[in-house]
Amino acid sequence: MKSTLLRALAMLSIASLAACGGGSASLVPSSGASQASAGGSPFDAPAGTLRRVCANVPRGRYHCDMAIVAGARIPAGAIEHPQTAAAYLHRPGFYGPADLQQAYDVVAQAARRGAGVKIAVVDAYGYTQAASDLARYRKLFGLPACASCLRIINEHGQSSPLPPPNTNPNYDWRGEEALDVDMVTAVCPKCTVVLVQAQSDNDDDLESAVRAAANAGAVAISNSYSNDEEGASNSDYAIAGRTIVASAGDDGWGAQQPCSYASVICVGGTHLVPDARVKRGWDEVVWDGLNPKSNDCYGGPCATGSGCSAVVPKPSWQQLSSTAGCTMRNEVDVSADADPVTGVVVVCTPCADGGSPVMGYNGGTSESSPIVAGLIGLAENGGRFSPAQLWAKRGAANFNDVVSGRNDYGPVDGSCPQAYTYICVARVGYDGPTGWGTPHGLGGL
Amino acid sequence: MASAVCRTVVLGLTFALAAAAAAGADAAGSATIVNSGSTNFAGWKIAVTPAGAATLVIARRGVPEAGATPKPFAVSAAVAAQFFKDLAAAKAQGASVEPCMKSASFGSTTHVTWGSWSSPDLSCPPASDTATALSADIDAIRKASGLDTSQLHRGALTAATPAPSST
Repeated sequence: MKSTLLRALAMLSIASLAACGGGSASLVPSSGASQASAGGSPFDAPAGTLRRVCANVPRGRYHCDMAIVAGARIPAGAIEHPQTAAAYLHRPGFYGPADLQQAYDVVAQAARRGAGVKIAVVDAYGYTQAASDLARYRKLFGLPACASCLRIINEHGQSSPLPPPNTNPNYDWRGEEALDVDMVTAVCPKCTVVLVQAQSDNDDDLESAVRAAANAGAVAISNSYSNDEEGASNSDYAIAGRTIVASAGDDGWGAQQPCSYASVICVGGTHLVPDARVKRGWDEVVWDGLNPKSNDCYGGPCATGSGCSAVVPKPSWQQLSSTAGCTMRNEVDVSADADPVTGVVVVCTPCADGGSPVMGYNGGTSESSPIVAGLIGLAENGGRFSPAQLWAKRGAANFNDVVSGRNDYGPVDGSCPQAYTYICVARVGYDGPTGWGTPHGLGGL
Repeated sequence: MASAVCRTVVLGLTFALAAAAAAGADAAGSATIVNSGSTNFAGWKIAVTPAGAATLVIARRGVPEAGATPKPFAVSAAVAAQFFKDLAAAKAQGASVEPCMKSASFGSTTHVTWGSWSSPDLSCPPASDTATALSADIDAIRKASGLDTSQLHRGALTAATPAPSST
């Protein structure tokens, strides 16, 4: 009965549209342009209104005046015009190389180190415009053009054939690839980024890609992907002479792999803001987008991952009083900027589908993992750097301790374990969401 | 004047259709497709009736943004029929998929709910004919909705753009 009613209404509606001279784009969206004509982007507030991005932020977070002006539209390419770029770049959400290098105190090192060092980022599927997008990113931020900045190989270590892009939105990794490549070059401009494109996103292909990265000579290998924990160890993420780095995930408290393997440097996420009141010039708190007051993820939950592994035994180097309570591997070792609100610019032509490929507000632990991998490359330690060594170098001299924020809000994972709340709540010293903190220079890497 | 009348009639019928579709979203016969979105892209939710009446709303983890209004659209009879035929097969036989890794900040999940039945994450590679068929149906329905996924990125500068007034 209901079906009959719906069918009748549908037919009547479509007939009316035809009778009125054709379909109305404002009623039946058929393209981005028609969506815009129906009231703009899906994120638009009603025309003429001003929506604050970070109103009522708690103490310690960025106190900003940033707002979304409904209907305000920036012409494609405006951000790359010198006169207008200054209005956007180097602000939270629009960070670039200079901002990240300053925040992590590696400006001098980034200017002179990294030549000949290979840093790999492992991704799935192809990304045809990877080289031209990286060149555009470097030009945007004043980094010199270079032919050796990027090498692309498949999961077998060959430069051809590369896998085709997967343009189905359900499988599209090109935004991830752009972010990965841009972040490595941002913190280590002289390094060579080795983009390894697995044939697909299944475990076997990605593990082959990690091995290909190692065989290609990459000293640090970033993996911005995750899934549920499966095993206590995995030899593909424990390669002698190679430093494996991974994202803690964006779903709040709950360990994931490959990040929780004891052989992997697991990277959490922060909310990074300039702060002239402190000597460092920057301040960081936990990326805690699960807070329902936050607008970090379109009003929905997302926050840095953290956790106490369910399957990976506690390594000897984690046998500290500061990690009591969690009897298994404490997942996160170190962290870096990840909150999209304080995120970064990325150049990704296929992400824009004809619009400007220069996009701000990219983030997640997909940002923080390649940042840390790039910094490890900048340290020029030849791949001989492990999670154990990072823990041995803990302390204020090498890491910016992140002492505020938590990642257990919302409905995703429930409340933090009462026996060891540090696994989801920041504090002085080690904590789950940010590990030992964010890199302060290269001494801890 | 005639145009205004037409617009009023169409609007009324369309909203009636959307309301009817929405009301039937939980009833047996209707199906809901939810893409979770990710840190960097919003997700979406599409409700479809066997008659082909459908609505689209931008959502994250199935929860629409505050104030978001579902946009009605029509799915062709052939696509709707195939979708519900494939749903019935998947419900009876299962719809297995391969486990897959997700990009930490760009990966999303896609599930179909039909009555009390829910699919596995159809954004992973299908491992059965039923999952393959459902994935193809979802792709066709998403295309019919006119959803422009490039507009789902928070930083797309051709869409509404933050005016960074000060720090």
